[in-house]
Amino acid sequence: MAEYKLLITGPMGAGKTTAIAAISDVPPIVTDVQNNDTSVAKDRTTVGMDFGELALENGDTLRIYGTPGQERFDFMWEILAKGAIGLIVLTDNSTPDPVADLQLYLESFSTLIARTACVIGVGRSESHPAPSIDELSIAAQAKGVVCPIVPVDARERDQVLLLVDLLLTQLESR
Amino acid sequence: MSEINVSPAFTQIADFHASRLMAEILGAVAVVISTADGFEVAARARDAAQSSRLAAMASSIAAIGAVIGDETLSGACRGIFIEADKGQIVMVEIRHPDHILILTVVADEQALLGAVTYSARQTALVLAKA
Ligand SMILES: Nc1nc2c(ncn2[C@@H]2O[C@H](COP(=O)(O)OP(=O)(O)OP(=O)(O)O)[C@@H](O)[C@H]2O)c(=O)[nH]1
Ligand SMILES: [Mg+2]
Repeated sequence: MAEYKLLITGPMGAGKTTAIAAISDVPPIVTDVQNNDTSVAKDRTTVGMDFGELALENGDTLRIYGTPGQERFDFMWEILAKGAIGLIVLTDNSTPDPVADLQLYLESFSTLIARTACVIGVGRSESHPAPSIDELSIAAQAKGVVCPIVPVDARERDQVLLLVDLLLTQLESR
Repeated sequence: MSEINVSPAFTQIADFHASRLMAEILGAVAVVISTADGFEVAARARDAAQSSRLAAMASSIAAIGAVIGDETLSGACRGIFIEADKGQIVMVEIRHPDHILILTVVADEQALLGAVTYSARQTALVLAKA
């Protein structure tokens, strides 16, 4: 039985904390505090990390970490990326510039992505169809990342599990 | 920089205390008063570029301290103390009724941890009522 570390990142409010809570077998560790940034209508925001655990069918355990979204916490990005076997980037299609958001995280985590694998989950694409999966895919390719990109609702356990599966499948095929 | 919801009146008082602590604490390198989510409210530092990074780091470590206090049934986290080779870092919570803030003091090897902690705690109590 092995334990693997997996990391979830993406912009503020994309649903990183929600996604980990949706799939964790144990009550997740949450470090959310009151949000004081008046430019984003959100009560609480993650400033340290999220943590949850997921037992896989083969007996292995995934330790799932989530990052804070804001760039001022990039030192936590570095700490949390250590030892991860893969990255899930959750984006939010309702932000002013989802393409720029995606590219920021792909760039910031480029070392991890190059070493491991990546999956992109696009949130709120039902209410905000643009940019399309194709456009996001081109934006990812421009940053040298070719990986699965799928729509996701971070509140739905099955949809988040699909992201995890897509990541693990890539790792197995290596 | 993002707009933060801390009143100008509070910011002014915080600024006064940051300046006072910087002058009073022997070996003080930086004093930062920041929101729980990592925004600088007031700061004095030998290296001004350091203060916004310190604000974000204080936020992360205080949140992790809070979780550890909670999971070990030790209660809420009041402060975090880092003893480094060439200095000490003290972070204490300011429990203001409107918002939790963090006071961070970085001091070099001239400073005494007890003295830094005492000054920081006293100031946190004053700011909690400001
Ligand atoms: N309508 C809708 N809401 C969603 C969807 N995905 C997530 N949410 C909601 O969006 C919010 C996301 O909040 P968090 O999980 O705290 O997001 P986060 O990425 O951890 O945010 P930070 O920690 O602040 O960076 C929650 O209230 C979710 O219920 C979606 O696909 N559709
Ligand atoms: Mg979060």
